[in-house]
Amino acid sequence: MKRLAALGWPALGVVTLVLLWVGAALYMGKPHVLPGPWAVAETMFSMRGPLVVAAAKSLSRVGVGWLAAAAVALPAGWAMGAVPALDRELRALLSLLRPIPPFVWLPLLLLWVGIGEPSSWMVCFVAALFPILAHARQGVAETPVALAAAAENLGATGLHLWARVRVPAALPLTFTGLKAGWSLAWMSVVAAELVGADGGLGQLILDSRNLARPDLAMSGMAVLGAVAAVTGGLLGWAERRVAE
Amino acid sequence: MIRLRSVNKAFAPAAGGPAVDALVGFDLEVGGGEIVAILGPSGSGKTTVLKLVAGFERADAGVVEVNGAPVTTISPQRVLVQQDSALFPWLNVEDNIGFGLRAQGRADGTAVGQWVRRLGLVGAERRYPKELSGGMRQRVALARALAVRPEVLLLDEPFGALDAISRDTMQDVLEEAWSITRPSVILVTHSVDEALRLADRVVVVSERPARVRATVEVPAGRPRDVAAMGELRRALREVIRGGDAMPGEGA
Repeated sequence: MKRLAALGWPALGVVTLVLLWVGAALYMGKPHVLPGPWAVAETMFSMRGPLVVAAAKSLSRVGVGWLAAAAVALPAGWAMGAVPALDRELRALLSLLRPIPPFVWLPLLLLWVGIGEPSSWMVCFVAALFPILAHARQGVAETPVALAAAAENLGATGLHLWARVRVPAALPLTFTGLKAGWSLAWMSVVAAELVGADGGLGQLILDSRNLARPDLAMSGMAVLGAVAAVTGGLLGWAERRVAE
Repeated sequence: MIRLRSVNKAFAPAAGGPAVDALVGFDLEVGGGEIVAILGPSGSGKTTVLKLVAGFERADAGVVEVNGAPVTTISPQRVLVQQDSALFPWLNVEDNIGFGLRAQGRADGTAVGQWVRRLGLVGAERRYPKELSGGMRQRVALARALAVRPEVLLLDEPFGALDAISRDTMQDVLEEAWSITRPSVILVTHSVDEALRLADRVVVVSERPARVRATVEVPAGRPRDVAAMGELRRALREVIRGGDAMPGEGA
């Protein structure tokens, strides 16, 4: 019953939204401005090839940027959480950089590395870097004192202490950071593709505006949301497997 | 042999202000394989004694020694077990018990299995701490501590959060487990009955800063029937309440 209720409420929300959309589309009667769900579904089917290619391109950009960010931010964040002196040194710099929206880096990145893959990767990298770093740092810094003390008391030092206590204790918050970084990287890749990248869902959405094809734009948006939700769900699954 | 001689320890309050004395001129000796219980009011500095012996804290003055060597660092030879058990939530029972052995490069599945059996944890090896009752968690914490075969076992109200029946069972479990490796034990407790049941000697301390008010030898053998120790029990309660009638007083 609980499972049914858990599935029922989100489904009800989706059905309500689609009904409102149908109502608005019928009321407006201008499919070139607001196509109905059936028109969007038809476009998604007929354009499935280009949509899949665009989604794969965006996904690869997000993946590269996010993985690079994780590779840098996880060790850096864990080190900051464990070494107060390092934390004090870097925190001021991070407080300065963190509030800058990732898209703001785009003009500079385009100047430095030009239009193409590297600028898209780097925007995703910048977007994912700070949430991953901040959460990894917090996860280690907030390792319960009693657990760290118990581990040291039982003879754990160095690598063993890190691998068996500090990192596992930091995992729940680390995963929160990884998920936040993933979401922000997705938001940023669209901006990067709108401004200066070849292909991808952002570029497809921009093209559909130029072609006056709102059905294609909405198809791109739907695919974007679906891919981000599915991949985010996979991260949530990994979190449950690893962190709990 | 554990020896604390003329130990002073003060703590600076987190909110600022003058340091607060936890121990002033504190003396205690615990022989090899002896169980000594420390009884006293909350906040009197009993836990500080354990932390000094474990090496988590350093004395401001005085001597803290184990087997003639001053205590300067944390060591798996002096293991502290606390009321909240501090089990690693991401490790199952077996891995929690084997944690210290693995940390010291002495991973030994047979030894872990033995402690699982001795502490009555058979069938729970693959369970995680959140799936265990309070009593089971304390069994795991005891097994984890004893598996590294420490010379000194420090118990900070280990059964304080348990119900009466679990507490009774755990006292039996502790006595049995202790008899296997016979470490020296300092047991901090609020329970007169627990002290009389487990300890060879009971040390009654004053309010903060802790000073030893009385030391009582417990003559009975093991296992003990605390109900039959009525006079000693009444006298000990009298000392705790502030009276001074104390048969067998040693300090």
